[in-house]
Amino acid sequence: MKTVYHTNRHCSMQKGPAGFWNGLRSRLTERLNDHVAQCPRCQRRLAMVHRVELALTLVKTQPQDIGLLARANTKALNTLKHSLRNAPKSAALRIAKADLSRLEKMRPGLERVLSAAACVFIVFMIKTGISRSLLDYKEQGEAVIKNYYARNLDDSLFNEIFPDDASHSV
Amino acid sequence: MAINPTSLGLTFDLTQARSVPKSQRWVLVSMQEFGPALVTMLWRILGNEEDVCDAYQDTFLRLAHLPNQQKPHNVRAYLFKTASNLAISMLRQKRVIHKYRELLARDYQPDTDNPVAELDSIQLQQRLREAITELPDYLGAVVVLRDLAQMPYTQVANILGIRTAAARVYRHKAIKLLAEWMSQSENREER
Repeated sequence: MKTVYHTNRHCSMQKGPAGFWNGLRSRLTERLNDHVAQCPRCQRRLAMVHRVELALTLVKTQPQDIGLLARANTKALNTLKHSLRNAPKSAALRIAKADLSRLEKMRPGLERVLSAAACVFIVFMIKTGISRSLLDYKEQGEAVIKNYYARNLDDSLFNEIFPDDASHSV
Repeated sequence: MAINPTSLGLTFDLTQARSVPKSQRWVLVSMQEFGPALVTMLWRILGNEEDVCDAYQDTFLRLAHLPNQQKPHNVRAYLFKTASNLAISMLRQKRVIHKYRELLARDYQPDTDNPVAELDSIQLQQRLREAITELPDYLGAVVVLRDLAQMPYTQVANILGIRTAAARVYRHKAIKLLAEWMSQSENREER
């Protein structure tokens, strides 16, 4: 154990200060994980903290109405001075919309690309005959399973499991 | 019919727009610049559109009516601090009303246990909001700015006038307290 520790330290010293800190951090994380795995009190504490994090995530991901900013601006502007209310900038503020995230802005384009990729994939599957062979494989598998059950189960149970093949077995 | 520039079809609005004093224009500029982030933060704290609009309005009303119409040294800090304080006060008021209503309802209706409700995300959010109102102001402000307004620690520290390390420590303390209080309220409900 001692040798392993020494070797790790030697390696981390060679990598420089960043390597040393990374090594120390990973060792601490390891020790913490080991402790948490054995300590019920810490497990409870962690679960409680995770619950708060979950609640915070839920609050953050709660969708916001797109017209909320415009409504809030309008309400706030209505209480300001007449000169401010009628300024050209305030007209733009009354119709302002919340900034969409980069991912949301890219969503239409991404959707189009994904649909095209899906189409290409299906065409590729048909061309190469993969889908046909997959279907064959599935049918063969089903037939094997049916045969197995037909041999090992009585008729009533078999008919219950495979109602479509009831006529065949009778 | 009243005779005014609008009824006469004059371009009065344009002339009026030009007459906005320079000393006041910064209010609109700040609304344009910080409005979206403020609304998002308020929405996350309050979770109710009406309340968001009210808090937003109050924030800008205070900003526009500062003594001698002076511009704050750090408008961003002023806006976010005021908005978060207002929102937390509103949550506290709502909590008092909610408690009062619950007491009244208990007298007239039988208790109904709903085990499914515990898993409800809305209840979890509600519990978090209630717990945030119980935090001391200096801890609540850090959680709101860091977690709900999603600002980096440096900005949070800048707005609150504290050190970055202190902001980290406050957030850690706040999360610990929130975790304890949320589990306590859950246990109370379970009983």
